[in-house]
Amino acid sequence: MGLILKDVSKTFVGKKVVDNISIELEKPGVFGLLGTNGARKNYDYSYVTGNIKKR
Amino acid sequence: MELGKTTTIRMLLGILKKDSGEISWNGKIVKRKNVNFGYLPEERGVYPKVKVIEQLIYFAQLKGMNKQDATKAISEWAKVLKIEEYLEMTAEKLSKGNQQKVQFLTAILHDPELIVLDEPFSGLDPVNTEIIKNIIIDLVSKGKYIIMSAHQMATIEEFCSEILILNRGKTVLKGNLKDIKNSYPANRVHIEANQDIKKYIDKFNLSIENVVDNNYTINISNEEQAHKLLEELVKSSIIIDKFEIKKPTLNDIFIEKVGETK
Repeated sequence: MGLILKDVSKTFVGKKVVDNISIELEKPGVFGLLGTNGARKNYDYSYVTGNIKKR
Repeated sequence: MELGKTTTIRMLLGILKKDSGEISWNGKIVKRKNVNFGYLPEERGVYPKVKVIEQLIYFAQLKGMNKQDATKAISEWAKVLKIEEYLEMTAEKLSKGNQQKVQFLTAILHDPELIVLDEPFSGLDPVNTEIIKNIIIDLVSKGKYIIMSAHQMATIEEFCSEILILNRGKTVLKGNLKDIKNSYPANRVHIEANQDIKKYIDKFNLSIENVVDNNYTINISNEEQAHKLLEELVKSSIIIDKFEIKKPTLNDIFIEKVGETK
């Protein structure tokens, strides 16, 4: 059974930063999540509220 | 704004609330309070003024380990990670690479079944990269599930069976790495000859990507081109030390796919 993500999305400050992502890791192994570099340093991110705002 | 990978990871771990979709582990919906995953966040951070062994025990206890088991596990892992000599030091005294190994240990110490590693190799020298790599391979052989986020394609290629490439939060490519690579025709051939073979390469209108001391990396559109070139070289009595047809690397595929979506 393992790990299943199905159509997961997240919107921050009006933008869909995660758009319908699905991941299936049904047996032991390494799943590679790859992507372009982030621009996160321009934003303040709160772990507590999950809010994000531009600096 | 490109927060896709790390945001996905945070939702997976239950740290961040998702807006839609489902996340389950072994058939049960993931909630932060009922998961015991291991996590190495992208933000590196150890408590600088706390002794390494103390913070390792602290993190292990947070994850439900008792002090005795934690101490034993730390001692065993410290040998593998080559950080034994640092256990009694305050974390700030360690080099960045060693701090990262300590932080990596907090992710695996409590023997979680699912481990999420956000850029585990960034900033590590080749020796420490090798140590971490071998641990990961060993963890998988022990039945662990590992999600690794990275932008270093070469490392990912070595042991990821499944991959997902995100650009601006959207999936641009997903699936089994082997199958993905096999779906592309060969795009390069490496030839090591005993002499300059440029005129033969030019004869077939092929371009040389790189050449060092008669070691050629030649761009091709299909395998047939490579075989035709080889035939010609052999006919001309050129001595070939190496002939290797290559499929696109994950780096090639990534660039192509991400470039497509721009």
